[in-house]
Amino acid sequence: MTSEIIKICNLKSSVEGQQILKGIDLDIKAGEIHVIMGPNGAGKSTLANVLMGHPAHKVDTGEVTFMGKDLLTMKVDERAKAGLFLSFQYPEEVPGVTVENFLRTAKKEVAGIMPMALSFKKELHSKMEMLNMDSKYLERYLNQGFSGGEKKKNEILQMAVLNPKLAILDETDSGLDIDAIRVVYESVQKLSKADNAILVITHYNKILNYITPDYVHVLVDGKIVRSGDVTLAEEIESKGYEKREW
Amino acid sequence: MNFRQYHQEAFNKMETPVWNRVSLPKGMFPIPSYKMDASITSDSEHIHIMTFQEALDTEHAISPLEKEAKKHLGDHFSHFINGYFNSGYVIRSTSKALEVPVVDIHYILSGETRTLIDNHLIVAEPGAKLDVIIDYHAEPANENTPQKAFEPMNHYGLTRVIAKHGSHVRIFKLQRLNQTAHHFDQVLASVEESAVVDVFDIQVGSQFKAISYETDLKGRRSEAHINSIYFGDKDSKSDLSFTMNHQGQKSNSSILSKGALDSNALKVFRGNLFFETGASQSVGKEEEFVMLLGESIKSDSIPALMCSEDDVIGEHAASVGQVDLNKLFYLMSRGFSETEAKKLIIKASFEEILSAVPYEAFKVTVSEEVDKRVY
Repeated sequence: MTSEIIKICNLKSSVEGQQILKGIDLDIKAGEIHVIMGPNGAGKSTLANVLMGHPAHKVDTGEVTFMGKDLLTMKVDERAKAGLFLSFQYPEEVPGVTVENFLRTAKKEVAGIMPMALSFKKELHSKMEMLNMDSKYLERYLNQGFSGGEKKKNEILQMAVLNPKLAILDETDSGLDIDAIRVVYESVQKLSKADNAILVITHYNKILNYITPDYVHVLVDGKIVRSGDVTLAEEIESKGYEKREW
Repeated sequence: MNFRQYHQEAFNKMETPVWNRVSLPKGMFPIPSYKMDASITSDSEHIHIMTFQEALDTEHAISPLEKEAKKHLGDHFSHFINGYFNSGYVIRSTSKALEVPVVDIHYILSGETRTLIDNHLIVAEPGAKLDVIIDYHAEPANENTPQKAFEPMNHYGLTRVIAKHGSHVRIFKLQRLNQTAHHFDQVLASVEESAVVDVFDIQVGSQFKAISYETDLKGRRSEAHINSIYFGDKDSKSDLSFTMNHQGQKSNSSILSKGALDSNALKVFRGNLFFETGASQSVGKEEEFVMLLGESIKSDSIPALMCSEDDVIGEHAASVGQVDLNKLFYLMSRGFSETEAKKLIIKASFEEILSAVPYEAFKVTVSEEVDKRVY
């Protein structure tokens, strides 16, 4: 029997009194890759932020079970320690902390023990090679002065290091050129394992050249209006989101 | 009447000062009965060091001008420090070597010696270079520490800096006394033609801290840059004052201050740019950024620009805000607790200043002190 990673039931949330998510139901099991597509303003990034616990988003109702625990009662860092990861659409810059130190400390926070410096560095180098990232980035301050593409690659590097149970990729393809999209999503595909799951949020299906989802969901106006396999993405590509009866 | 006697007499005639914005603590102006030695090291034979008292006792070791002190925190403080100092050094650099000579002064206050009154004179001769690091910290209390150690520690300081023609002086001050300490520090700098004075003032300790920097940009093309970092503990009081007096033509100054304040902290920041007659084509800039970590914080920023010259540029900017929630969320999503994430954000904000400090150990100490004090 495939183990359940996350189960979302009737999740509704609002920001400043305005409801954005209007009843999300979604089950993700280990080994699966899910893609959520939808037009601008549908609530895709909101779903990512609500699951990670952004304080600006208020959960109105619903249940989320993550790795058998109630996710919604956990603090943000507890969610990370439980194995949830969010690749941010707009990663923050943190001057004064080098990428290497940040990754090593984050790994310690999530795994509970500080990784050995030498073996950790070796692991980092091989992961950076996979992402076609120059190892000089390790010495630079976290995301400071990084191009949009390098910031996104750095997010995937963090995902590779932290080895989460569920990684949510919030429009990681935005701002990337075509070569970077290929490198990033081929890496994401490689990071997909039998004991983890990936939820990719995107506007476009161009990433599907490099990643093979098990399920595609369409999110419109705060609800998942349709779910299917990869052919659903092809349908959206040809017909668009608008003027359709879902 | 000698130097000390003159100031003691002047001090004793004065009434206890009263401050309006930040009320002064009780038990001020304790007179120590002991001398305090610093751990002081220098790495150059072109640096000449003697104690301030030795310099006073030695004919021509110190000129009347070099002994002069302006008001700063008030005459009371200047007379008290000049009259009752129990430590202090005269440091002169004649070094023009490519590698900047460093003088490292380290004071440790303890239960037995808990009052430090230091009186310094730092002089860079024409064309000389000099870096001076002054670190004030408290011996940590432990179970064997006498009860006295828990009474407030006191620091009263006066540092005069004279940067002669074409010289370059950098001062790195770190105040990391304990959470009950009282810290009063005044720095007077005089910058001659084409000379540069850079200051890095880091204030992370003390329950009450009052600092005053007053820099006279006397010469043509003189420069002075103050980089200030402060952290206000819960219930702490801070009065920070930085003044640039532009006197020379084409003089250039900047004041950049980055702070973080915890719950119930009170802080007043004063940034003063004066453009005096003759300071045409001078440029002065002051900026203050404060991060508020809790509730009930009182943070006043009082910038002042005074011009007696038309052809000058003076700028000021100030911003006060809570910790960036998106940054906090980002760091917590990587497993950092709220406290650890806050520490990283504070240190990131201080980094703009610390990145210009060339001394790694100094930076590490600042980082460790922030880690200790944010919880």
